Amino acid sequence: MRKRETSDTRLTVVAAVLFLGLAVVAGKLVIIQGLEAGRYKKLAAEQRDTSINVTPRRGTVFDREGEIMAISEDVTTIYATPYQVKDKPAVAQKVAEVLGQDPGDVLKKLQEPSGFVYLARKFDKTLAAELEKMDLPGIGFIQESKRFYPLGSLCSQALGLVDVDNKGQAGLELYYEDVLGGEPGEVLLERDAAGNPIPGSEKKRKDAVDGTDLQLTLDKDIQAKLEEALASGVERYSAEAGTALVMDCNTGDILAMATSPTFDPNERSEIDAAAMRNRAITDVYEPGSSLKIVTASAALEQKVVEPQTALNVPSILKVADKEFKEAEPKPARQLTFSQVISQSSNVGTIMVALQLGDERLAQYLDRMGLGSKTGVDFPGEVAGLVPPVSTWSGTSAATISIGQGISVTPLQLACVMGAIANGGRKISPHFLKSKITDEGTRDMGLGGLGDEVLSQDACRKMSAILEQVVAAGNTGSKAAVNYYRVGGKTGTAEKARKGGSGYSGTYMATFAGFAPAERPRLVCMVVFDEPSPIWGGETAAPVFKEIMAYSLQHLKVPPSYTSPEGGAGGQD
Amino acid sequence: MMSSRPGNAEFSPGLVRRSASKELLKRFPMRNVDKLLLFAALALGVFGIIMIFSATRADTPSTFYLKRQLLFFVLALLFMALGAGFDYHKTMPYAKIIYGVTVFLLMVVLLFPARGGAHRWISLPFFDPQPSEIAKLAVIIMLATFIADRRMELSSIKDFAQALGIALVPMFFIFLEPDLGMTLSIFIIAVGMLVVGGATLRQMAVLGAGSLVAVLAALQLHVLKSYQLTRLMVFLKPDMDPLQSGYNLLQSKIAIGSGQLLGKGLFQGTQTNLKFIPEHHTDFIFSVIGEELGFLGAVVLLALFAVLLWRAFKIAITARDPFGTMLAVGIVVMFFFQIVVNVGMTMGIMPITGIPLPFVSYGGSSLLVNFFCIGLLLNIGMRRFPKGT
Repeated sequence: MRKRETSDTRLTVVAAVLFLGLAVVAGKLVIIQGLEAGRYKKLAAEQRDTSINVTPRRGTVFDREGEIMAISEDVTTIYATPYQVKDKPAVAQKVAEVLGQDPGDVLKKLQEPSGFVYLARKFDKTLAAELEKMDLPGIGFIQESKRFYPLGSLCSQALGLVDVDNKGQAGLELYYEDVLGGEPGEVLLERDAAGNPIPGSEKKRKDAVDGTDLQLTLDKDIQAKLEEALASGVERYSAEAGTALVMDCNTGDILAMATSPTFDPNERSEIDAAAMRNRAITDVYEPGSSLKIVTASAALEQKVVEPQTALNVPSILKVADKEFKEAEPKPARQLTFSQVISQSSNVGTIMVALQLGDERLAQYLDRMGLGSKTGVDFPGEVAGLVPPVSTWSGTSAATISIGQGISVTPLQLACVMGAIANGGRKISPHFLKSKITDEGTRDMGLGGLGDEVLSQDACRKMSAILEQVVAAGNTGSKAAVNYYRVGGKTGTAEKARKGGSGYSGTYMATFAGFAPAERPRLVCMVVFDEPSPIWGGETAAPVFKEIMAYSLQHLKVPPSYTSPEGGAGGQD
Repeated sequence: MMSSRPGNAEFSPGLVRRSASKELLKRFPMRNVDKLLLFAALALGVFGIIMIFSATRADTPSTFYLKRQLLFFVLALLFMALGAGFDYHKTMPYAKIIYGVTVFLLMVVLLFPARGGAHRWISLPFFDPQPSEIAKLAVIIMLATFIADRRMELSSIKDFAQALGIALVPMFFIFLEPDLGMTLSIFIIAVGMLVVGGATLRQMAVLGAGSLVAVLAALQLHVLKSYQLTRLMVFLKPDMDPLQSGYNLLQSKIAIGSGQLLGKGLFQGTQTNLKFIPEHHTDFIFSVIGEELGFLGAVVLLALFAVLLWRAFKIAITARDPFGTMLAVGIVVMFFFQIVVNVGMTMGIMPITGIPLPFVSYGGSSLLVNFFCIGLLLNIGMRRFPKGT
């Protein structure tokens, strides 16, 4: 029995050693699956999962009449999983034929040591379907959408465009990205040990939410006319560029807006970045005489002058040792205030501005919205520059009153003109009319008339003066529109020298106006950059006339007169 | 010890002799079968079949491995019955023959073409047996017989050396295959049996020193294949080369670790199904279990093994004679070594060797041998009482 007991002891020792081994294993299990589990879980997910975004259908953009301005088309992106492609040269040949690519290039892609390679992005859907029918192993298809602008270059600066990933890149496409873009969906793909996507492992994690359709305030017909008139104006006057807009002065609806030259968003590779700027909103300039409408409005409301007030306008006016003259030398003369504006007398305007004083002039500039953004629904709006009154020198009131030493955007000036036209109410310019969802069209109620910035009385007087501007023999006579009473103001301002002080010898020509004067409906603004001749009344005014005439007719605005030149049937 | 086995007399088959059939029944003392051991072994086998299906479902055809393992399992049950169905003492006279044939097969297998760089399999039409699996059992039987013959006294140097030699001969041929894991496996079995079989402390110390010298010599003389060296290096520093040799281990750890407490669910293991885990149905089946069934599943598995080993030890201790004890010790050490090395390997506490997880990993030879061993254990357990007169 002694032997038996020794062997039992030995057995127990062996058993203890071996069970200890098992305990060590169990302990390690606790460590890996308990203490360090999080780390391993993360590692597993990292090497396994890859996610692909599913682009939602982007909302369609319509003009105010329901014309499609931007729409997303279904296209097909074709890719290959190279290791699954068996007979690479043959497949390359077939694919290249359909895609219209070089078979050698395709073969090179198919030979890449990767699990995923694009063969063609956003390719024509029907052609891709042909390839899909061939059922080539290793060739895959992703349904995507591509932005298409049916009107081509029309309204391109305002609409903007999208990037390759269908994200808004500029213009309204960018501003309303959140609305148009929808929410991308996500598909989770699992990869095997070699890093290749596992066919059939696609797990939809999140459905894509399609974008919302938008209806804009823009009118494609007015837009077309505006762009045509602007382009021909740029050519006729050898201008560097031209900018114009048409806005409803009672609602702030922007009916048309463009800058020439323009671009075609469908031909992405040929776009000149400069042509993409929507200069009516994003660029400032010195407005020159067209700014006299602010000075005049302020003087009239503050009763500094009346339209009939007679002023002795000297040939040269000295303000704080600086001499001011008319644009073209004039002898000393007597003018009514109405004439000062309609003939665009710098000296006369400055005399009134000096009577008005710095404080009041600055106050009206501010009330009319100059120096602050209009709040238009467009990316990249600039506020312009109005020097604070505390920094004004002795000549500031004089220069600013005639539109020098101050910078504005064309849209700001159009808003000032619109406020005068609509009876003194602030305008909130905007592009968005309504959102179109499954539940129907929802008017976004943008715009409408804001606070009173000018009394109705002052507006009435201003309106009459501005009609005089367009009267025969005055500066804006070429802006006159047959059958309609039109008010407006010209502007010709020497451009500041680039990168320095002083002036360059080149000019910006402006005409801003409204119609019909008896019941104003539209504001139109035309600016030419470096036209020849330089005068707003010679260049911007006739283009204004062209655009305004068309717009009024297109909107079936009742004529003011029964005869082209007026005189009979005036309503007021 | 005898006093701790009360009431053995009434079960003594010698007491009642009524008919041949009745006597046969008495000679198969079924009521003495260790039911826990049987249960644990069967449960592990079924566990294995399910996990093998889970691991190979993605292959084509998806049930290829499942069907084969099911067939092996049925065969294994027959082998178990075979192992239990005769008085184990009858193997003693055949021990030398079994051993001799096995050594012959180990030489023969070297002549078969290498698969994956190793000559481990004898190619037959349906089934490619692995002689080294049989070799483990042959060594156990031969050593048990040898030690039992010497009444568990190996104190003489000659006896000790001979006993060691019994293990070294097959180890040599298996090393040539090469199959380092199996070689070590037989070595550990032999060590366990020698310890229980009465080797002195000094003999074991000399054996230990000798082994160390042999290992150092092997390293020095570049006897190890480069992949064997790499595996050892990777064992020491698994992150050194995650995409090459350390890859298997890292992926296995990721699988097990990411399973966390409850696992990702049966058939849901991403590491497994995406083939991040290599050899997922054979050597790394534990990683699949850890990933899909989590800590809970792994603990259940280890618990089943613990039960199996505990019962096997019980059988070794209560065996009627030295041969039974030594046989049981050999088998239990064999199981232990394989379990600890295999599971340890998947978690980086053992070097990566091609040792399958007993009862669970895919593979016919291993399953048949293991269940045959369970049969032997049951055999020893149910014949633990002396035949009486």
